[in-house]
Amino acid sequence: MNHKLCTLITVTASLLLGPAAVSAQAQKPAPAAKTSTWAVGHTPDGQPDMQGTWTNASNVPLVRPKELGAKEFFTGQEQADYLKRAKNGYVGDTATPIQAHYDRSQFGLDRSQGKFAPNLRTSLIVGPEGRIPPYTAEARKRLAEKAAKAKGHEFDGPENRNPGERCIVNNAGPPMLPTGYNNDLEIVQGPGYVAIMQEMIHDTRIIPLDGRPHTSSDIRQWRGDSRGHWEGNTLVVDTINFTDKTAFRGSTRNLHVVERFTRTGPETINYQFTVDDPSTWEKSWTVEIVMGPAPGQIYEYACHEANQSMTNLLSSARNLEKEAAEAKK
Amino acid sequence: VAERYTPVRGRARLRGDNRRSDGIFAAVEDQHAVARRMEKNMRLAEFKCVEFVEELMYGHLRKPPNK
Repeated sequence: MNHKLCTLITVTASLLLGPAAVSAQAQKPAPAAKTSTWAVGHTPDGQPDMQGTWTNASNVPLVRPKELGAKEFFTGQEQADYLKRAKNGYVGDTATPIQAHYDRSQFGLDRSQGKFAPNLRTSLIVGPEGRIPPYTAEARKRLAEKAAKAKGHEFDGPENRNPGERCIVNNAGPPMLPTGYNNDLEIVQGPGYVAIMQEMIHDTRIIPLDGRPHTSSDIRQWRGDSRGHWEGNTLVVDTINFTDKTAFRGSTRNLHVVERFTRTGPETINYQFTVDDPSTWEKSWTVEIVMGPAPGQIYEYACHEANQSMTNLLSSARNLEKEAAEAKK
Repeated sequence: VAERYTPVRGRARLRGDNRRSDGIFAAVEDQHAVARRMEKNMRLAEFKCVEFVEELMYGHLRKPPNK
């Protein structure tokens, strides 16, 4: 896929899932699934079996549309009616219209063309608020300074662009938040480990389950350092030791992510994560996504190879500067 | 490319491969030991290559200093 398009879609998705301020939420479980005889299978070494190719694509926005207030769940009929009124089959579209200069359906990227696991939530963020908690005063100051420093230098060099455009990290997390397209991932389990490979950026996270401690906090990684354990049928993954550069929605290197994966049916995994960073938000916040099956296999995704957008973006900026300088003569 | 991994001792694996490209060159066979790293707390760390090649790829497109 043309990377310029990829970049635009990524940016658009970021806007769709955009940050917001307000407060508080208490976790409330999703409505119980219909009773069935299904029971989770186990791997030969006894782990609940999560293996397979999955997608965490969702037509539920991260932040709840304001008009829905504290309503945390739709009924099936309410959701169907709401989606009829929304553009592109996406709940959030009535509140955040997409600014695109092309027909996304031409590339199969319109959300009405996508397949999503059933999810009656009105926002991926759980709780009555359905919004990201307010930034702390420290974070507001830090982010304002960062924005002021970046202003006017957005196209100076590759480091001025976001990590997704640079093909460094994208939707593989942690935490794993869906983006505009390609939210496919594969889970593979072996004795003592769970591996999660995300097609985008083609990145694999290998999570030890043997109780070993985290690496030293002196060692910082874009994707942090993950350790997992089982709580019944739920895989709990704890990740710390991020870099400042990771900056998940404004976070610092103190970001702490706890993910919970629970196989809830033959074609569903309940994926829940809680993010905490006292340097950034006034309180922790939790997201819940239903992952569904992604038929087929994961393929190679050579992001950097096709990253024409970075070249075009920087060369365009240099040309504009050159034209401006010549006009002054 | 056909690879074969065979355990030979507790810490080692024997890796052999047989590369064929019909009509271009004769099959090449290679065999060497793959030793297991046994240092305490040994683990692989992240290696984000992109960060290291950006200067090579885009350095000529950077905004010149003092402009």
